[in-house]
Amino acid sequence: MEDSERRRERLKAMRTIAAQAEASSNFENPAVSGFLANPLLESPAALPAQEESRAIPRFDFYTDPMAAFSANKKRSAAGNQAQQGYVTPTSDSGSPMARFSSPRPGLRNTDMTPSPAHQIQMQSSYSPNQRMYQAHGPYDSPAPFWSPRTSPFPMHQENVAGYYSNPSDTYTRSPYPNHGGNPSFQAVGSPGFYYGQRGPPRHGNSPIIGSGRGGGSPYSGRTQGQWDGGRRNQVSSWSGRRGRGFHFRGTAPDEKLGPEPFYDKSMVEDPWQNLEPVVWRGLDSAVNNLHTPGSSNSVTMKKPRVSESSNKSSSQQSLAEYLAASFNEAVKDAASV
Amino acid sequence: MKIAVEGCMHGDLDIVYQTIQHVERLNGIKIDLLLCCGDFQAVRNARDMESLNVPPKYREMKSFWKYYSGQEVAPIPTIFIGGNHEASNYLWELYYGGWAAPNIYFLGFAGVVKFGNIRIGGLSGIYSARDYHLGHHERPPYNERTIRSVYHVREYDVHKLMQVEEPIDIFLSHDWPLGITDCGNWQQLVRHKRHFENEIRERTLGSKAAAQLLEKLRPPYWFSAHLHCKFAAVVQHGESGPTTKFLALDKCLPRRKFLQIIDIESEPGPYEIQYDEEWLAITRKFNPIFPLTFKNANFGGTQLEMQDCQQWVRSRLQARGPKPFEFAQTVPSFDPSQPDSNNSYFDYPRNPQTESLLQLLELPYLLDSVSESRVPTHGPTPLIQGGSSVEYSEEIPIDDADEVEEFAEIDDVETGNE
Repeated sequence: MEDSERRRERLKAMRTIAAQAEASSNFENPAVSGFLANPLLESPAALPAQEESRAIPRFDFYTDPMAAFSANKKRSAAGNQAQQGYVTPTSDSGSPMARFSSPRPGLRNTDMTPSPAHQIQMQSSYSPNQRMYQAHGPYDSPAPFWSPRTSPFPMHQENVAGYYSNPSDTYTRSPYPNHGGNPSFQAVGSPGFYYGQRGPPRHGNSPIIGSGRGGGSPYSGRTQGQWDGGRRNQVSSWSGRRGRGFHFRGTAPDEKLGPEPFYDKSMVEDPWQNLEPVVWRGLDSAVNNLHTPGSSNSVTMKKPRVSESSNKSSSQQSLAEYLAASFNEAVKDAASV
Repeated sequence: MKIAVEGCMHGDLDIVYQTIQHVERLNGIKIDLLLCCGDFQAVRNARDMESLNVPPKYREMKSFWKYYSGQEVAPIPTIFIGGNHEASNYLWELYYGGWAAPNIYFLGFAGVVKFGNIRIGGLSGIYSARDYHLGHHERPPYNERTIRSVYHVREYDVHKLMQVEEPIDIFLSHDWPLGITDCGNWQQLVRHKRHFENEIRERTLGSKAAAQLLEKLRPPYWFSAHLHCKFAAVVQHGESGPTTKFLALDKCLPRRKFLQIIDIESEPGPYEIQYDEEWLAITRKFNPIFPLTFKNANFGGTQLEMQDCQQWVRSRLQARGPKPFEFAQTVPSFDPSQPDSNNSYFDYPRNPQTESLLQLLELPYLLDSVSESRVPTHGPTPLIQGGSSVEYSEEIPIDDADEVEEFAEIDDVETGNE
């Protein structure tokens, strides 16, 4: 029986061996250090965080016997990944935003007429899409089209009659200012919002609606109004009814940081620049794995039993993995009884 | 045309718009459009919070109400789809799409619009096989079951999108198309999201419905969110077919990759959002079989010919113009000075934008029809006090700055692939 001191030393030695094994593995691919950085997904700025996460030494051998095998598999997977050519590391991270063109020029949807973005992909000489509509009538007067007699469907006139009795007046009063070049938006009716055909509020005070950036509203444009923006409120007026309060804070803590921490230069870079197209495999193979109503939804149907999986992957599965899977399967079966 | 694409909004409109303006200043560019891939959280007031399926600690009045009320105005046109954290009662009002706030357009549970000459389609919600073949039986107020099923993608909406024949330029889905990871560096992905590995290997990560649409529509660009990470892929349709550039983005947090600017060749501006003729024709054709109960649509029950519908819609749009009906408030906005005052109405109103669109298409309003889920035997049950027993099994943790917490919670995640 070894004493604790010896055991500690022995474990320490195992850690060292494990670390060396990791280092040796990484040496095979020094560019990635045991971790394939993907410039397609993460900008260099984000890499330190990743480095941090993988800087944690992994020592799997006695904490979880299966982890040793998974670690090997991960190394193997990393190798496979490199072979598949998904990743093409690049140092060109400073390119300005470019127009994204198809990596496969000349392709097209054979059964469709081209549209603008398709044309970009095709890089062909199709003329611009001409499906623009011409306005020939008033936007906001649906009345000319309200012809229940010609409708092929039963109309609920009793429900809408009140609202549409004067449709030309429907959208004429607005608490909003006209906001420059944006479309003009108008709320319906007085006092500032539409209650539907069921009428106005049945009790309580008149609702307060922001009236834009001027006027007598409690809001005053972008000045955050009259409430304490930094104070966190727990609003519970209706929580008695529903038991579901909510929080309100005038300005979110993140918002106080300004936009800089939210900006990343990858936001204006081509996210697909180093990706190669992969032929779509289609749904057929995937659908077989989906649970659909009416079919068996048992776990054993979704996940092959040990005997099946061992037949399929016996060359890849170690004895330890097989035994562990068998154990898990037995536990599941026992639990489902 | 420069388009900003954002992952999950989670109500942080102020920060996202500030970041976009920062990008514009730094790079000397003008961004024409913002696309958001779901979890927009268009919460107008306290009442809407009841329809938002989030754990209690994330139940927060974010910034959308300011844009709804008019206190703030979106600096660029914004188009969004729904995800699995939404004020579902409000999105239901706008089932066919419409302005959720001035300059902020909801694409609908499924929809296609034009922006300039760019055609943008989208599918709201996430895939769940359990609910996929059901009708839209949920009505507000939601119970603890329907608050989680209302955002599950339905076959009816997917079927409508599958009818689209004219090319789509950009498509949005909240969850990723099933199998999309095959076309990108999934090994890199699982280094950061270890819990995805099994699902990727088993090809169960993602939405089957979105994958079907990807196969059918073959858009040049497809954007998604939901899994709170950035992932790019390039799909080639067939050995010599067209390609789709796929990009999933993160949520809005410091140092996270939640935003991407793309530049698409287009006609010169100014641009505006417009109704899409083919989509309105599809809407007209399939509205008569809109499934409003648990029962799925009878897809063989459509009697109108698509060609006739399109011609009919074309004449309507030529007469009226393609501009969507204007924004209208239907309920009071949250008032921070009177946080208790927002429960002064009871009903769930019809949205005049929806009514006007249906009137234009000569279709009946069906969204408030009584559903099976409202009859007493299936009626709403009170939400669990405090929400402690409510399962959030489809949740991608909103606040996953703490990865340990994320990994702990993610064990319960069903990413829409049951």
